[in-house]
Amino acid sequence: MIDTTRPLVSVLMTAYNREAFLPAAIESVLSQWWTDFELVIVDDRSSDRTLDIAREYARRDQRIRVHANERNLGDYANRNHAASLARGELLKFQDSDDIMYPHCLTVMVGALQAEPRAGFGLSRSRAWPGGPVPMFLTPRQAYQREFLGFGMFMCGPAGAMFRTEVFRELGGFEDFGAPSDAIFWMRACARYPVLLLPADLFYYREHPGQTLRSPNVARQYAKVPAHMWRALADPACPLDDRERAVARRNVTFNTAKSAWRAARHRDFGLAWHRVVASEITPAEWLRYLKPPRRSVLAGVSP
Amino acid sequence: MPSPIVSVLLTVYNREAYLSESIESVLGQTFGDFELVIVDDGSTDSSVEVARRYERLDRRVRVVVNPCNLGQFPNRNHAASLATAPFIKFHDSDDVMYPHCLAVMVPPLRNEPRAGFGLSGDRSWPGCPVPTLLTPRQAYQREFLGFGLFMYGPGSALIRTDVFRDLQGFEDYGTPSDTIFWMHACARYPVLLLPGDLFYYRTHPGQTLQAPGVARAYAAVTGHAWRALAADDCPLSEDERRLARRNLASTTAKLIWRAGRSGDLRLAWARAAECGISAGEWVRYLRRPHRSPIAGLEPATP
Repeated sequence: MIDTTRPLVSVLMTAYNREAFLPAAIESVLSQWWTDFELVIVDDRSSDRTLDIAREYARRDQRIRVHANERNLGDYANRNHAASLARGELLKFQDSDDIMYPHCLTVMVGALQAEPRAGFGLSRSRAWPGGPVPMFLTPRQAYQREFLGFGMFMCGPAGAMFRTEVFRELGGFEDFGAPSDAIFWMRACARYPVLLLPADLFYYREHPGQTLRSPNVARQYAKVPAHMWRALADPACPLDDRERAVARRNVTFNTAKSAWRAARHRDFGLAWHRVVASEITPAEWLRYLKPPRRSVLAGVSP
Repeated sequence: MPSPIVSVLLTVYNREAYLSESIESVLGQTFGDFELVIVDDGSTDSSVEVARRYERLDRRVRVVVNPCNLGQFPNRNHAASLATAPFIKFHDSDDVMYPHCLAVMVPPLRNEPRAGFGLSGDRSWPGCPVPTLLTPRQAYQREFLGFGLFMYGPGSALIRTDVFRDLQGFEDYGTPSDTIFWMHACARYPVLLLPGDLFYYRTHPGQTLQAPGVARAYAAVTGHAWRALAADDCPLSEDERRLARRNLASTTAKLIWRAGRSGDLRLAWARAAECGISAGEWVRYLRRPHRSPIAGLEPATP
């Protein structure tokens, strides 16, 4: 029997050699309180039993669809591919090494359905400061939180629930390696209002095999300040001139601090790379390198 | 009428500004099998009228007005004595429960009869998916050898009513009464770690934690911890206790130093006098702290 009705949510699980964690990841989706979903598992050419395990679950639960890629796409390209297969109105990335808590989808879906203006919702491991959630942020408020407050773009893809059309309209993730998510939020939050959601909706497993542990990740993250710098110079930047000046100060200071940290750990190659990859010019260093000014109240509605 | 599963205990003193929102967040829970016991501690504003209005609208609500002011923690104990359900949940009159709060807390505690109570912070518990049961020893390892477990308020717990009564409720030490209670409770009962960020903890100028003198009240916590580490029922091994004393001495020294540096010599003195650490113990234990994020995660060593 072919089910022709569209599920409300597409849970997208991209997997590459994760046989050890996959069953727990899949079962945490199947035991969600929210049941109106499809689970799309996209295997990126695993050489272990990942694909067999996924197909075994698909035989038992008709909400599961398994796709095997013809060639290895890599983390973010595979996420975009998975999104292109989604039939639901809402997208939720669920990593093959994480565990969704049973209330995860219920909490995210309910909040996003009640706030049609938001393009997507964001959750992380700790409570968002400044008020009860769900909290609606305009692009300007989101940028204020990131650049004048204590940050909000350090969420993984699984922290979000997207409207499928918004994710597609934004063209999905651009692939910059590990910080692709942070760079995506920067672009997405300039264009769409975001909804801050309750925290701690899934277990983010830390283990030696994960991408964030690979050695060149620090070098990939060194490019984030350059993206920030360009976002702040973009005509679409939602901050006013005075706020942009403070934001540049804060970005410059953070870049200097992270370069200093690398130098203190005697990793002079990384320290120099952090300075160079930031693309901050000498004149800008002189102009903006001042003590940072951040406030917990940045981006909080009066 | 059969008795409900949860008694939500809302103690109030002059909170007319926030009370309606607080009560409505309870009545809007997706888990509906509760009684809401509102105990007014002699408010001089319209708190009682607000509470009575909801009592008329919803038969799960019961309002009790104290003939004289008991103070925060004695009033919490009084409220607990009125509970008819097997589980109690303190809910503060200035906080907002998210709709899924009780639904997330209740089933794991019902399914884990060994746990005396469950704890939920404002962020994920590090190192493990939840729910996770901690033995008394693991709880003490997290607190004293890791990065803390006992710093959350009464609203973060769901407690078995008979366990709370067996422990004879909170002893009144002012603001840090909750921390001192967890210290005693975790030595006696296993605790269940629960998902975080289940309610909005409002910070505002009128709340107890912002009152002057709170720092002085907290000065007494070290003394309690020092005694707990020497008590017969301390669940840590000898080696672990030594390390715990080192960490505690270091933290206390830092607090004394901070108070002194900010010119508050009376507070510095109070911290030194009330910490319960003798001169000989200072000499013996004042060393670099040694804390590990995975303390309390590993299976206990024989």
